[in-house]
Amino acid sequence: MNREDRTLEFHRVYKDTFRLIYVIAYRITGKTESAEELSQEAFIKLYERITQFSDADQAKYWLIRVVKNLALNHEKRKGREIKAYSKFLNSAKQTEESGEASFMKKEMSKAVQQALNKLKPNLRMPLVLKEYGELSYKEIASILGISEGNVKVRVWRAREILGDLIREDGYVS
Amino acid sequence: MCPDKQLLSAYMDKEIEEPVRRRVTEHLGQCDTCAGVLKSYEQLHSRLLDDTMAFPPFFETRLFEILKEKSVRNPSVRNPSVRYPSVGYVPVWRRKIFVPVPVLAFAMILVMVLAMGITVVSLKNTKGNSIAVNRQEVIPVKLTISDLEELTRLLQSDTYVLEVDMQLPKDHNFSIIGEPVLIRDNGGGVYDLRP
Repeated sequence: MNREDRTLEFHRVYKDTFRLIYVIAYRITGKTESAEELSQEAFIKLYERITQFSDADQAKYWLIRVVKNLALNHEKRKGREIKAYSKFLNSAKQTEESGEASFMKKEMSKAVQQALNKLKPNLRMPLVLKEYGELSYKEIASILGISEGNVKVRVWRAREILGDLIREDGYVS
Repeated sequence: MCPDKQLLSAYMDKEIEEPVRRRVTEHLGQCDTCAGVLKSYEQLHSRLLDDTMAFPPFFETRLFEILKEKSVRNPSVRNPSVRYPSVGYVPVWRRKIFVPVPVLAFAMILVMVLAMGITVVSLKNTKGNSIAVNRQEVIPVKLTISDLEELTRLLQSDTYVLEVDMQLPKDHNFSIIGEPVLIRDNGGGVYDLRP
């Protein structure tokens, strides 16, 4: 594949997947900055290896795997920071709300994302790929390296737990 | 009997095939509990999708800027925003060459003819070598001068190198002048004693 073909192929895969990749990164990390950073990293890796894929689907699944791994690693790395951030937010809740605190509250008041963040990664990932990626159980199984039956169970368990979490906040009747 | 909740979850995802799917559909029409479970999953699905998420502005621009910077630092990563790079940039060994099919066919035929010619010549040489090897065999033949016809036949034979002892008539005086020479058959039965 020459440079021009490589560039065109990259653009094609990018156009087909950039929203999906960003959404997955965002839904796993819960932060727009992190999602952008991880998505960019994933696409840079894709460009370096774009010649290795036989078709666009293969590149897409590879990209999802990469962003999933990046996001999970990012989450582990930032675990302490997230906890500290949550602690700060809780203390801010109890104090008089300044403009900054109000902004942070608004950011964190996204109940769905909060609930998603509370899910264990092994449950969150299949649900995110199902709900936002609109992938089939078979595709999710291939990406995560688990069986279709396992995907079915994890998606169901994630829905049950997420439903309970959101109901607690009164967002779903 | 109510289906498992996992089945209802998969049903919503359209991951249940017939005839199970049809039976679940029928059951849902009769069972408020299962219909409620399915409805809760559907509400959750709607809630997840309703949570609109803004895609970061200039994401693509920033990404391609990063790729461009990387391509400057590392030439193996080219800038993908340049869609039509100059021809001179492509290394010689990676350039495409377009050859018309007739020219390609003619070239292939030419190569085949040359290959066949070389093969034939080489086979001939091989044959010659084998004869030369055979010619290493020496069969001593003793003939009297009266057997010139037999000598001619043997000399015309292309198979062997013959070593011929000729017995000259004893009633004649022959004097040998110069170095001995080979008798060569000139094809007409006349023997030329000249070297």
